[in-house]
Amino acid sequence: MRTPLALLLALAPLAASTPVQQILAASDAIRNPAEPFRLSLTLVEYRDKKQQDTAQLVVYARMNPGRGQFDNLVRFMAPARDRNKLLLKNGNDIWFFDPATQAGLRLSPQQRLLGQASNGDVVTVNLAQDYRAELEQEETITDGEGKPRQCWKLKLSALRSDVSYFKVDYWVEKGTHRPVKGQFLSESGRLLKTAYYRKFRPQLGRERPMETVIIDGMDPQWVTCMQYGDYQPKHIPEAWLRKDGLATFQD
Amino acid sequence: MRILFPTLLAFGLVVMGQEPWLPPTAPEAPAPEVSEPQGTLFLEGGASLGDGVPQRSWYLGLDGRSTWRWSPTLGATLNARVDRDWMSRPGGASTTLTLREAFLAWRPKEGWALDLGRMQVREGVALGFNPTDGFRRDALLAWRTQDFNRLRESRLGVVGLRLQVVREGRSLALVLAPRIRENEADPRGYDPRFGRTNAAARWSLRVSPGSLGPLYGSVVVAGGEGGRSLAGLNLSAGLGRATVAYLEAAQVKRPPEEGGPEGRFHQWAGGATYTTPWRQSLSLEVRRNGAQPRRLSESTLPLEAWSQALRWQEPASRDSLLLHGTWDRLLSDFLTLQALWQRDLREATSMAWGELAYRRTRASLGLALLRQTGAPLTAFGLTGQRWAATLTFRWYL
Repeated sequence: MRTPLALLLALAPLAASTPVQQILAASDAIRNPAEPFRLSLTLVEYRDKKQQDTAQLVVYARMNPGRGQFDNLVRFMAPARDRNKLLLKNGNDIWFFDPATQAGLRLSPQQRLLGQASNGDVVTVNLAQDYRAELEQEETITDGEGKPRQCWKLKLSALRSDVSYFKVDYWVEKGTHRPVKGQFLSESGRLLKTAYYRKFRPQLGRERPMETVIIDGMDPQWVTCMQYGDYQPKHIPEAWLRKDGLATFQD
Repeated sequence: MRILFPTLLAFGLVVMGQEPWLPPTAPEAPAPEVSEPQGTLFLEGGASLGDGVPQRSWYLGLDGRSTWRWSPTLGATLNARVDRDWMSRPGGASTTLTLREAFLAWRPKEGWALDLGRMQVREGVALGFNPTDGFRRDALLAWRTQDFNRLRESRLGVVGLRLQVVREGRSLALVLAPRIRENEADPRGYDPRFGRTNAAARWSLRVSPGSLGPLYGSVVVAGGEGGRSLAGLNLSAGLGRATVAYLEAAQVKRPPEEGGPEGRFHQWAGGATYTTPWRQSLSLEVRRNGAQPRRLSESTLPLEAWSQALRWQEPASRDSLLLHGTWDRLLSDFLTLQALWQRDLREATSMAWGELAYRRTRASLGLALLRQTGAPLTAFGLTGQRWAATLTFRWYL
């Protein structure tokens, strides 16, 4: 049986040759295509294992090279009351826009979209840009499909006060760098939600998670499933990713 | 007790150690349908009871918005509503068309947009009062709720030409609105009411330099016939992950018949919105409306001043406070509570409004209560209405 010292020595070369931040960046690259793209997103909310509510969105995302972070436009398709409303995340700004009234409302990252999914959950985000990663340990955990996965457990700390979560415990599969699980924590250390990444399928050049299951930290019976689909490369005009350009959105 | 405690402890450990429930993996998620025309259509109805005039009223409305896209560069939008109102007094039934938008949209190249026709032109980052919004006068046909978002749905667009350019993070929007006809006293039925929005030629220009760190801003200037002018500023900033702060301010000059003191006056609204991790939002907004007298009850024409404030959709008080809160998923996943409180900071008059709404995928039902206090010539006492209860429903077709 390895002593703790032996374990640390075994991990040291790992930390030196594969910097922890690069592990996180590699995991981001699995979730997020490098080229501008659009995808469809279905949010399904469950309570006590019964389906409660559903929303359908289309997400347009493009990397902003200056920030190293994605700019996102989310278009609501269903339910009917929200159809064609828009949510824009552009750097530090999150805007909600209703084309029927031309009203643009600035939102905070903490405001919720549906179920347990916050604005920060539905948009495309490079965690490596928003969080500092530290390697805590290696461990085997059960993934979202019930299979054991050997993972690096990373401790992520927010680099700025306006990112969605203060701290994240993040499991990345060794070798493949696939995201497996995330636990999102408040400033006080309270568990806000747990996310499982699963159903990896080829999309835009590599295998990506097609589902993220979010479980409420206080009430495990409150579950939201984010289902991704229809990945397509897409030219996204700059005007779509600016608050003042939302009134001219047309797709 | 010696058996109960260990049993409970063991049960708790078992529960804590259980794997969480995850829904079964779904088949391929269906792509949302994007069909032409794109839009929404809903039926809305409401009934109101109170001690104002009229005491009872009902309405039924059909509301729709459609957008067509004929080519990558050319499209059109139609946004309209028809209401049938009944009131508890003889001859109290009427039909009203609210033609909010009907315009052609041309996108000649990336970052350029040209719209021609009747369109919504709105400015402002504040919640309940938008001093930089120069096209709001007489644009609201019916005041059926205190909900800011639903009031905006009832607003008439202005007829004109709009050019918008977005480049390298900066943007510019120019609107030219001609004079079409005088504002009629009492148009009926399906009249599009161009006189309410285009009684005088006007223009506006908004320039936005984009984001500066957490700060976002824009400058608005506007003018038109009758010597009217406006120069304003909008600023908003995200503070951490839970708070948004904003400030909207304008220096305004209006023709005497549109209300306000001679010369120029200032208007501004500033505040912040805080959202908790548990789906509650609370906003506090402080407002100054320099178009109003210091104290409405001491002015020479309080009814005229109050009436102008209503036409401009601005506070009837010179200095006022607004508190707004929402609680999503109150007691149930489908219940939302919204509450609003406004208070004059110089006179003892206030308004409190709350709505509990039950929302499902295609339908919603809401119950709202209104309470107003104040002496007869104050901002919320002038109409004499002390309370009202309103029941509304929406059905999305």
